[in-house]
Amino acid sequence: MAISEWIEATTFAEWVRTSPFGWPLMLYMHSIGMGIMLGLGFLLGMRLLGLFRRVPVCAFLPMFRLLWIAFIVNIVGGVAIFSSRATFFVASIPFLLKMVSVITAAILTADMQRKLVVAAPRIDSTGVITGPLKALSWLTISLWLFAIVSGRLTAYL
Amino acid sequence: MAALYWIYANISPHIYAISWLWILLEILHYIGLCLLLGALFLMDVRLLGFNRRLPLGVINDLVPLVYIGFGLNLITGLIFYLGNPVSYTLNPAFQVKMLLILIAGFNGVFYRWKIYPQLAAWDRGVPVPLYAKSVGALSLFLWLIVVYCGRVIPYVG
Repeated sequence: MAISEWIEATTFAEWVRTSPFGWPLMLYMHSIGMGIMLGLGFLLGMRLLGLFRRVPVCAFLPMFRLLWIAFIVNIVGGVAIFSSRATFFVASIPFLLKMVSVITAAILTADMQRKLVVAAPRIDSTGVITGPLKALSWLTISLWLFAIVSGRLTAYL
Repeated sequence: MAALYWIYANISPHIYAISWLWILLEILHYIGLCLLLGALFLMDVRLLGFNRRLPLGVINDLVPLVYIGFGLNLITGLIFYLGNPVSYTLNPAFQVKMLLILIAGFNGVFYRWKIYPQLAAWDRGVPVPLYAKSVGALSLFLWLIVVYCGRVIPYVG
C-alpha cells in the first residue's frame, strides 16, 4: 500500500472527510493561518520595498512570532486536508508546485527575519534598504502569491 | 425574492459561462483577505497594547491597505453572490457573515471618529483607554469569525 493510501485510511483522515466539523474546521485553520501569515508577510515586503515609510521596520520584529504561529495553524489545517485526500494531492501538479513555493517562501521569510534582526535598526535610522533585501522581498511576495494561485488551481485542475 | 430569481436566471449564467472567472475571483478574494488581515492584525494588536515598537501615530497609515483588501473582497464577493443569489441569501452562514461585516464597519467608523484623532496623543504617554482596546479586540474577533463564516458557507444551509 502506498504511503498516501495509508495516510488516507487513518482514523484522523477519515474524521476530516466524514465529520460535519472536520473538513470546514481544517479549511478554516488553513485559511486563517494563511491570511494572517501572508498578510503580515506582504506588509513587511511592501515596507521593505519602500511603502509605509513611517512604519518602523523594527515594529515587524515582534510580529514574526505571530506570523510563525499563523504558519503552524496553516500547516495543521493543510496537513489535515492533505491526509483526507492524500492520493489525489500527491498526483496533483499544482499542489506539488504549491508545496515547493510554500517551503521556499517560508525559508526565505526565516532568512529575512534573521537579516532584519541586524538590519532593521539601521534601516530605521538611515532609511536605506539594500538591494538584496529588496530582491528578497520581491521574491518572497511573488512566491506567496504563486502559492495562493497554485493552491486554488489544485481544487480545479 | 423575485429579484433574486431574476438575477439567477439572467445574470448568474453569464458568470458561470466564463470558465476561468470563478478561479480568478477566488484567488483575488484570498489576496484581499491577506491584505485585510495583515493590516488589521498589525493595527489591532497595537491598539491592544502589544508591539510598542510600532508608534500608534502611524498605524492609520495602514488603513489604505485595509480598504484595498476589503475592496477586493467586496467586488469579488459581489460577483460570487450574483453567481447564486438565492442560495447565498438563504444561507445562515452568509447571513451571519454579512451581519458581522456590517458590525465591523460600524467599529471602523467608530475608530475613525473617536480613536484616530487621539492616536498621536497616546504615543506621548497618555494611557490608551479601555474603549480603544475594545475596538481593537472587537475588530480581531469579528474578522476571525467573518472568515470562519465564509469558509462554512458551502457546508450549511
